[in-house]
Amino acid sequence: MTATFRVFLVAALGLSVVLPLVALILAAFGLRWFFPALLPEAWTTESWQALSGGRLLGALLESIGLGVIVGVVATLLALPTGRTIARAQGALQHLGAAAAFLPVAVPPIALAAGLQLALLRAGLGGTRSGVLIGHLIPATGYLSLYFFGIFRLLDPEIEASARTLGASRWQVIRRVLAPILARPVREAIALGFLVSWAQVPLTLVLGGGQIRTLATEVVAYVQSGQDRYAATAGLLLAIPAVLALAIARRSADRTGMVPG
Amino acid sequence: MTGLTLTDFRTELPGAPVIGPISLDVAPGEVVALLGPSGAGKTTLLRGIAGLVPGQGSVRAQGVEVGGRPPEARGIVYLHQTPRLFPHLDVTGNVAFPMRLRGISRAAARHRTGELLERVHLAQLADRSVAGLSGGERQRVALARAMAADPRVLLLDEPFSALDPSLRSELRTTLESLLLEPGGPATLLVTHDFGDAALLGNRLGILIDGRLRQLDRPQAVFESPATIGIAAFLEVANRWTPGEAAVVLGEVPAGAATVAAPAHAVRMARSAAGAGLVERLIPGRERTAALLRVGTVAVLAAVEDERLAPGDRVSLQVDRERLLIFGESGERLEIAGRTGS
Repeated sequence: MTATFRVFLVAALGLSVVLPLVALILAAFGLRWFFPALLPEAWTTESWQALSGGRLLGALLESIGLGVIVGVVATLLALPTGRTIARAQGALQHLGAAAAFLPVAVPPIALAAGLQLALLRAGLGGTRSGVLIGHLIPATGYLSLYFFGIFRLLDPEIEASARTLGASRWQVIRRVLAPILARPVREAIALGFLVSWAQVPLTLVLGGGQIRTLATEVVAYVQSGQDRYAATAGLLLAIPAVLALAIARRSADRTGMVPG
Repeated sequence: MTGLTLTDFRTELPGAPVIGPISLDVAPGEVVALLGPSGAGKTTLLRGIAGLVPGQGSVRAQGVEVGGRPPEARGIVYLHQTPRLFPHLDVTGNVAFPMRLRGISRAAARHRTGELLERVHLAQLADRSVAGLSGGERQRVALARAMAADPRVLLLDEPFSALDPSLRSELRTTLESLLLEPGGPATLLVTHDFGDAALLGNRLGILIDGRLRQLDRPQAVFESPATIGIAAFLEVANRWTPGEAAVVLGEVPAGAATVAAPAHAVRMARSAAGAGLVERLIPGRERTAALLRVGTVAVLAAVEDERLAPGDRVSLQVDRERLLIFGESGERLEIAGRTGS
């Protein structure tokens, strides 16, 4: 690969991330922005003022609430699951990993279609609980695979070592496993949050239009041609991902491992 | 008997060979070295004693039956072949770990940690992360951490195997100073290195196929292996069938199924009419050995005459006192008039 081509690749990659973001920002603050003008004719913060109340604020709070619960609950479920898969032997381990991979691999819309029937029968159709259950399924599968990887790297003999040094099972958890797993757990909660945060098909189908999140609102604004609102919601939607990247970058700097 | 006492101890791990029954006493301050071929069950035995794999029979530590207890309540510390340090703690945190578990104050633990690190020559690394330590340093941290638990019984699983030779001898010296003292722990040291076993072991046990085949002073085991299997494991240089023995010795001891002789039991003198032909010389760390042919029989002899060269003819004399005679069952036969060990 020539140096020029490498520069081109990096530039293309950078632009493909930056350009849509720039367009989002322009659209979110722009007033009367028509083709082929490069910039909007005027600027406004009208859509942002809507955040002080109403639909957009409701959707934002809904997304944050769902994301936090999904992140925490999926982590609590996935940690022991991933550990069990990692400690299983041979065929059992493959089976466990496949089971965890299934909800990640199945397209959410297919999952939603199947799940909706079950939830309707349980009286949870169009409810927040139903949507929560829907989000938990891919998030738990994804995080189980994540913890499977973590526990495969974590030598089980560390626990044996602590036991013969006098640590009870509980002390092993409190003094050895908890501090070692603190960072993976924080990361898992963030990942679970992001899975829920970006979820559209499951929310739309299972929420039956009753549960509106930031992600589903983007779809609604786009469909109804409210570009500025769509862009505003889209920008808000991008914030956690940008934050996550910044945090990853900072902790990478701290450990001396700078990505890229 | 205080220290460690095993009575008919067995481990039965699914999918692994059964170890035991083994009965064994180790006194406080004593080191019993266990030698055995790989796959003999040495590691499984130690893990069984530590309670990390299920075991049956009696395990007594300082006279107290601990066989039914969980690993943390046995007063027995097991040291892995490759040290398992806690990655979230620094060197001091690792060594202080067992003391903090017992509720010893931070200050007292720190003081004792300093002493222990001093003894394993790592005082300068007290505040370092364990991630950057070398293999030898990691092993010494693990050792200091094990001693910080004040173990009544210490189980060492091949502690030198991952180290290069210069670090081995350094760690061996450190271990000697920590273990072989009155009031020290009763120590079982598993190794496959004859030198480690001989240097550190007050007694030497031979574990083959899950059974303790011989237990004696190292010198006694090396000079008088109890069975032909042990002689083979200890690499006694010459092991002859009765027919071969007849060629080399001119006679076959009564009842012998195998006659064994260490290389230094075979003396050579250059002689044009000698029965032995020097086939080649095999350099060793301390001594060169000569591979001879006597008729069709191969004989290994220690070289004392430095002028010896391949193609020379030599006459042989075998020191009868050092011959090891094994019967049909593989057990060593005592010869009348021979002073046993």
